[in-house]
Amino acid sequence: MQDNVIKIALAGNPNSGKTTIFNSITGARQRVGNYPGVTVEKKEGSKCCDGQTVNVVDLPGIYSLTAYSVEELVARDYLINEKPNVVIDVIDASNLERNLYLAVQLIELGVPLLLAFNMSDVAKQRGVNFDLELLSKLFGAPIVLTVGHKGKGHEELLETALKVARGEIKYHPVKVSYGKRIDRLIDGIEPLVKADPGFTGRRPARWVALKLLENDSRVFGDVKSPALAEAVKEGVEYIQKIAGDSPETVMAERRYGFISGACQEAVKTTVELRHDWSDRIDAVMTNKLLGLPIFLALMWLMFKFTFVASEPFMGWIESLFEILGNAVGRFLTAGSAIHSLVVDGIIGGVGGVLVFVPIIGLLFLFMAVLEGTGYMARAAFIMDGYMHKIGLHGQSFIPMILGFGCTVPGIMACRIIPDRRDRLATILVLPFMSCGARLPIYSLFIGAFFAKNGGTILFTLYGLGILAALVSAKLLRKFVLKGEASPLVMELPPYRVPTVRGVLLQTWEQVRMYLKKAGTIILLGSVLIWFLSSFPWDHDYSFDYEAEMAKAQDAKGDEVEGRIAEIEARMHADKLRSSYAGRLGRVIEPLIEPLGFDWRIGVALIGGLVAKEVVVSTLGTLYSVSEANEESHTLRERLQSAKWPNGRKVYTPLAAFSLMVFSLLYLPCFAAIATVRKETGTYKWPLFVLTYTTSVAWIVSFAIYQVGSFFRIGIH
Amino acid sequence: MDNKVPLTAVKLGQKVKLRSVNAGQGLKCRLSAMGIVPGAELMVVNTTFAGPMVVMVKDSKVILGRGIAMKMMVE
Repeated sequence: MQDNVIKIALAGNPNSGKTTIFNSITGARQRVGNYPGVTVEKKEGSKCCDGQTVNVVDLPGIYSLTAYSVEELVARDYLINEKPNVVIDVIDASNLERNLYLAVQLIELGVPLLLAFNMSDVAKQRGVNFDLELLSKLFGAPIVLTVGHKGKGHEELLETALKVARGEIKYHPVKVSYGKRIDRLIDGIEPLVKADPGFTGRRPARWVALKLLENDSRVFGDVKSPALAEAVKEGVEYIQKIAGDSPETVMAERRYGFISGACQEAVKTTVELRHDWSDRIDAVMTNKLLGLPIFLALMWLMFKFTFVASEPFMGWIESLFEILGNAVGRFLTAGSAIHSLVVDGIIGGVGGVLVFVPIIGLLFLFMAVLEGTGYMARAAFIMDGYMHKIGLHGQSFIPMILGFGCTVPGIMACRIIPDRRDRLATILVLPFMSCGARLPIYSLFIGAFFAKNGGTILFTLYGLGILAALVSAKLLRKFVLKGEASPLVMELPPYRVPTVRGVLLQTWEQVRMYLKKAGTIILLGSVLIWFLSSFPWDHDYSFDYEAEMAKAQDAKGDEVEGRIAEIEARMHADKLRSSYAGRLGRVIEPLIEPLGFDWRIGVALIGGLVAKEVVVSTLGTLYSVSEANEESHTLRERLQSAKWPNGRKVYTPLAAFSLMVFSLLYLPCFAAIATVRKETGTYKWPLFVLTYTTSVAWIVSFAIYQVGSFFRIGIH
Repeated sequence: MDNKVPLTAVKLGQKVKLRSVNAGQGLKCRLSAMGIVPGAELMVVNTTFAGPMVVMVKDSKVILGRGIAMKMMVE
């Protein structure tokens, strides 16, 4: 470690406002939510302060430092191995005792500690008064009052943190007493820990002794000397005997006892806790009868709003790209490869995806508001009973909602689910949750074929995705990952008014990711698809179009122009069919024809493996390459007029619906598959997801298209 | 003391004291960390038909699944 770099770690309970403080200190823009478990991985940021580089690490939100959950282990290992110069424990001051539990564990771990009493404004409103000096003495750590979202106290916090790191504020860790008998037991084990070669001094001996008595499997695995193992075994039995409960429960009880004692002395509450407005809202929102209908109505409203409000913006962007394409096209030689690359490949492909920025932005805006208020945690509460019936965990619900944004963070958020099988089941069904990247596909086809009832179709698609996830979960739990789901234990945060800044930042973060994708992977994909669909450039036509065109030109009459356009279109179609993309598409066409898809859609679906938006950009490229018909300007119009070789329309509403359903269900993008691999640690599960999702997609789309065709629904 | 009942039998708005939790080590630790330790005062603030319930413990509200609530003995 360099001498001039100070490492600060932010620890704290979930939902205590750590991330807000992190963003404010480092100027970063991390996602802030109002439900527990938004931060599952540690995040780093840095800042310069008086010529000093300060590295700040935001640890995942945790309640304690046991070895029972991934995020607690991540935090614990970081604190032990990286030895930060100062640890700021962000404490929700309006919920002091519970939050101090982690502080006590940090004290025992022996880290240089600074307590940030966050949300001190809420605490004050509730009539809570802190004797900071006394509290600071009792816990042996300096305390700073902060108000997270208002940025109050952040400068003082950073200054104090630097003082602690530089050793200007002396740190006196206090010893928490577990009662005379247990204390004596700990004192007896400490020297044995020091003598054990398994513990080289990274971890304080007293902390190790405590963890050993608490049956911490991770720490126990390091025990080398039989004397220590024996002493711990006896100690555990002894505590069991004198307290009548398992040591970990007894120790937790005693820690809370210590905290209660301290709070009785140093915290005065002047107002009796009454029913606050949070409770009153909850009386309606989580009402036994109304809870579920309200939840469904809110979800429907979200999709309706997104779709209706984004419509005008999308029209503007569409025309903008058309103008751009024409303007740029004028500078390039018409008919040349470079003209085709820029206008059809790049502008056509990327533009086709950028059109959907408004719809993405608005959906995430709505979700950010719901999340920021704390409603999502209520949704988990409302849904738990139902989730449980299908064998998922109530906490599975949150990753699944995140999956609406992007499958990757959704899968990662599954870490908050404590039980391995619950977690696995959720990861495996998560790809069915319709992610933001699928939205452009729906939006394109709904705009072209279901303009009148777009909101309902969108709601149906999302519903279908959820249904597929739930049915799959049930099947998985019944046949593969057998057993009951473990019960839900989760904090219910109070309602909060989300800050405009917070909501906008979170929305922008999603939009930015989308734009970045459009500029990188989708751009590359578009160029690749353009190449595949434009080459071989010199095509040997089986038919002499030029001669026919010349003949048409010679013929006099009103229909000359129309006739020429038609021949040109046939010529382009011929060329496209024999391009690399065309050949590939035609190989898979027999497989997808029963679903109502032609080879172009086949190519687009293959492109969608990179990122689902590529389905749209591919169609954009394929149709702009093939269409000589200048009258259909936008992709929507081109789709509406696309035909099979026999003249039948490719996109009937039924085929469009079948395609949307297939896009919803078939295998998620490569990034999602890679994440499944990373989070499950095997190749078996990503392979399973790959085959399973694609089979389900094929079967469902096949059923929809065939049944629809049979009853002649939506074929005009 | 024979007046121990499972948490699920407690009426809305009633204050009770937790006596014991019959669950695995991991779950017990999670509960402890959230302040749900033997001796803690709990108040049931919300319930659903067959699903979870919300209890107030210290100054926070915690959602508890039906399965775990049944294994918590209170008085």
